Amino acid sequence: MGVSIDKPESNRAFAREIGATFPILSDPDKATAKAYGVLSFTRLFANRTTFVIDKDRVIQHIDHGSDAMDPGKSFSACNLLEHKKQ
Amino acid sequence: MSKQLLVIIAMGVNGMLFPLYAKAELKVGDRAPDFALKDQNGKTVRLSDFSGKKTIVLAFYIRASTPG
Repeated sequence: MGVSIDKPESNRAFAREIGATFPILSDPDKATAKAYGVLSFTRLFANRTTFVIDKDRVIQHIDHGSDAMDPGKSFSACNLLEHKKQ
Repeated sequence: MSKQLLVIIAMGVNGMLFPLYAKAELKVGDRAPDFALKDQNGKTVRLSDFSGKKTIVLAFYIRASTPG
């Protein structure tokens, strides 16, 4: 799932633009960004950060900044979790 | 100056300052805070809806339709 501080209307257009088939969530009051500790220094937006969260809601992997641009590590973390399950 | 250009400049300034104040408030092994947020179709999505069901990849990004 994606999250930004944009309003749902902006995210609707963005989802269409990128062809997203997954939820793109709106956090306009920035409460979720704050709870996850990713609110920017300027408080204008959330910093690019990816969390992999398991079925028990435990964080298993975090990518910050440019690392979060590459989904490879998060993908590997998901694969490991799926493997563990079996 | 366009609004989009201002956002891009703010992103750049933030990127330069980020290492100075960055602190990992959540770390691997922590419980992910629940949330209830609206998706692009106006449907409310809660993290707790997926408890016991699915692994979730939650990707915070800077703004829609920007290079961030």
